[in-house]
Amino acid sequence: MDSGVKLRLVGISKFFPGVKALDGVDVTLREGTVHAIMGENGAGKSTLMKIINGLYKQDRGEIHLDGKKVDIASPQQASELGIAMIYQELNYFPDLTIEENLFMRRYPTKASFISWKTLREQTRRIFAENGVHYDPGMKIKELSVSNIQMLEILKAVAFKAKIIIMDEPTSSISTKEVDQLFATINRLRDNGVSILYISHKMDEIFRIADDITVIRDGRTIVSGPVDAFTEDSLITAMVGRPIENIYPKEILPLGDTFFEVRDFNSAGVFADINLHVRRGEIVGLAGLVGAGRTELACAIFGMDPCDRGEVWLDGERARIRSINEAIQNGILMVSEDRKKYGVVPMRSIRENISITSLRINKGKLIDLKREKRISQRLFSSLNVKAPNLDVELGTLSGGNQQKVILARWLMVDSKVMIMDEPTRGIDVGAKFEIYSIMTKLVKEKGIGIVMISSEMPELIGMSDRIYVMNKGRITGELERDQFTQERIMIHATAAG
Amino acid sequence: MRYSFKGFINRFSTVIVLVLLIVVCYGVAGDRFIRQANLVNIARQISVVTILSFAQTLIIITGQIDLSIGAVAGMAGTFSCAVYVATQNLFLAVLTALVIGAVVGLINGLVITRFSVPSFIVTLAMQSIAMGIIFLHTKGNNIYNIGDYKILGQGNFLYFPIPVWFMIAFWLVIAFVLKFCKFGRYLYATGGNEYAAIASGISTKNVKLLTFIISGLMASFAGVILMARLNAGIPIEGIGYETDAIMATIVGGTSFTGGTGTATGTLIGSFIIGILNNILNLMGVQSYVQQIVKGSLIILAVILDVYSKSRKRTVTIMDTTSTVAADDGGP
Repeated sequence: MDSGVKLRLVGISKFFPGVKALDGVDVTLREGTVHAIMGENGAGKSTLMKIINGLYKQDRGEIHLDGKKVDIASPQQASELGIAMIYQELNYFPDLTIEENLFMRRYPTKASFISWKTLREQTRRIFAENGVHYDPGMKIKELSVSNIQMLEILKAVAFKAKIIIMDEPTSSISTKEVDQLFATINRLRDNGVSILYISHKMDEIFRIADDITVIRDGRTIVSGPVDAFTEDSLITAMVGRPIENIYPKEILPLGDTFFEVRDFNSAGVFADINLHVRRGEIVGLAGLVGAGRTELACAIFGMDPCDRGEVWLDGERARIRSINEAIQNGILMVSEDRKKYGVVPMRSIRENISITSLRINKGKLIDLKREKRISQRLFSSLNVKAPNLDVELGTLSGGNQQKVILARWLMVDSKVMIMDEPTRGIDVGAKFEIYSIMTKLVKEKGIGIVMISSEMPELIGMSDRIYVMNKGRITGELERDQFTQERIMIHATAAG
Repeated sequence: MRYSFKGFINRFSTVIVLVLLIVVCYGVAGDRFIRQANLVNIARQISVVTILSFAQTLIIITGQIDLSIGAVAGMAGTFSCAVYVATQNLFLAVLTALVIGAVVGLINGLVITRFSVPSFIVTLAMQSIAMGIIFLHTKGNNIYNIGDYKILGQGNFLYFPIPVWFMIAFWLVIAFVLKFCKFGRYLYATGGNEYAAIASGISTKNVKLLTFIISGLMASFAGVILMARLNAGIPIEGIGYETDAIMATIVGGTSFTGGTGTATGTLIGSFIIGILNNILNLMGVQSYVQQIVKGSLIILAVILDVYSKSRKRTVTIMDTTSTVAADDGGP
């Protein structure tokens, strides 16, 4: 048995149909330390954590716990082995009380009935031991996210977890709450608990981690004690892959500025946003998850309210109080959440394509011939893979659904198209096709595109200019000759 | 057109059931069933519930439910009789019913859309309110001696009973709206995925509001025909029609979760239930047994609906998993 090694992952590989998610990852977690797992979106971090927590089974590789090889077949088993996971999206029962949530599936019983007295006593004991002051009878929904997170950690500790996995625990809590969280983590570490900590945020990592492992493209790139890294070397390790030329970008002469967003503000979401788009320009909007990019897009599109701000189009102020007005003005948005805001699964491809066009054209009746003609043309030109137009959209693959949703917006005259994560969750081939459509749109129709993306190679490959957002503000603007992943990352993570 | 055999079965399942049912009925009851008088009789019997079913179909397509249509039919129909007795003006009587229906639908729709209360609750409460109002007005009595008012329910026109003509007219109008009007598409989109409909520029609140008004209008008109057929204004007679309308809609292939459904499907669903009742009558089966058969039928229809959807859902889940995988590990 290695002295002091709590968990050792050896050559973990995981394959999904068509995707190699993990390809021989090694991680060594020492007892009583915080080990940061770092990597870009899509590097394979979440898959790895799910394997440790028993949600997925690795295809190759071994997990050694306390020097012994273990098989973790389910989260229940992981929990029995002393492994607990604090998810990015917390799981709880909002209408149950703190104590009920804390002891879920472990209620103390007396003659087969729940012993509420014991439950209350045990809850109080756990709170006392950890120095927190909650009312055990309070409902979970009355608590803040950070409090719920704290309860999840308490739950893990109370039930003897020796390894706690935290997936971006600071993504939705305030700075002050981060301090509290770190104090808790430090106490846990002193008590011999080992923590796997996933995060993108540089400053946090250097504050809290003892060891760092960087994963890229499903492989361990580098691993070692935190002292061996600098912020720069970490960024290089995370993003340092050569950018393949899968971007059909054409550098075109750009027109004049025709679309402007001025002084957009929404309390607590984003502030002082100013941006402009030139004719034929693809403007990238970079930033970490939670930087406020999607919220900004929704506000411009009239979907979410904003406190203050103006939209200017072709030298005139455009009043946009609803989605319909945005569309009438030629401002469109392809949402990041295709399932929720795009697809009507049980309706045909044809109906899904034409719905917005119907909405803005005059008249009460549908011109079925025209509808069929135009949607057929878009269907063919976007190369949607489906037997015919009458197939239910829900039966198509993600990439093809995305093309149909794009077709919906292409059927409408547009001036500015906001595309929020237009290639999320779709395969490389479909990505390329969507990039080609974007290139064609700016080239042939001279529209402007605002592309929000969390994939930096995509932003760098397709944009003419990139704005970087951080904590609700635009913290950087880069011209094409200034694009590097390091620069974007610095603007996106800078403390401010 | 490429249809697989399975696709054909799925697409025309209600028609197939109807045809099978007719064949079985012919086998069981022979000429008695197929006689023209009997067939016309079935059509007349289902006319009121079918009109209500068309209203319910529109509502269910948008993912809502309207439990007030039976009570509204009872209330509006009875008020209409009262107006007719007082004025002897048929036009005014029908107009009264329609105004009442529209107002009830408006209130339903406003509460549901502006205060985000589930339609199940609102329309259930409206059922009680409507009954209370009409009983308060009539002091619990029925309205008799409605004279020529009964023509709307008992008259004939071109060989067919007038209610059947109304049923056919509503069928054509609703089928037209769902197929050729933009409004129909908004209904499907709203019920299919409300968020996507909103993000596509559709004001789903207005769509729902309008649908409830239409539902109220159709319910009140069905109430007029119902009272005319009964030859009296009997408020209590409307009660229960809302569930019959749900049955016909679901048996007709409309999904309870919204987003699908057709007028023709509902018409067929209503005929299936009507023919079942008829054949059980011809065979001399007690009406209590008929209720059991009807109830079993709707459970069967819903099982089929859920089953055909769950197969699709499996596909979607697989798709999601691979999407998640791509998110995690894609380049």
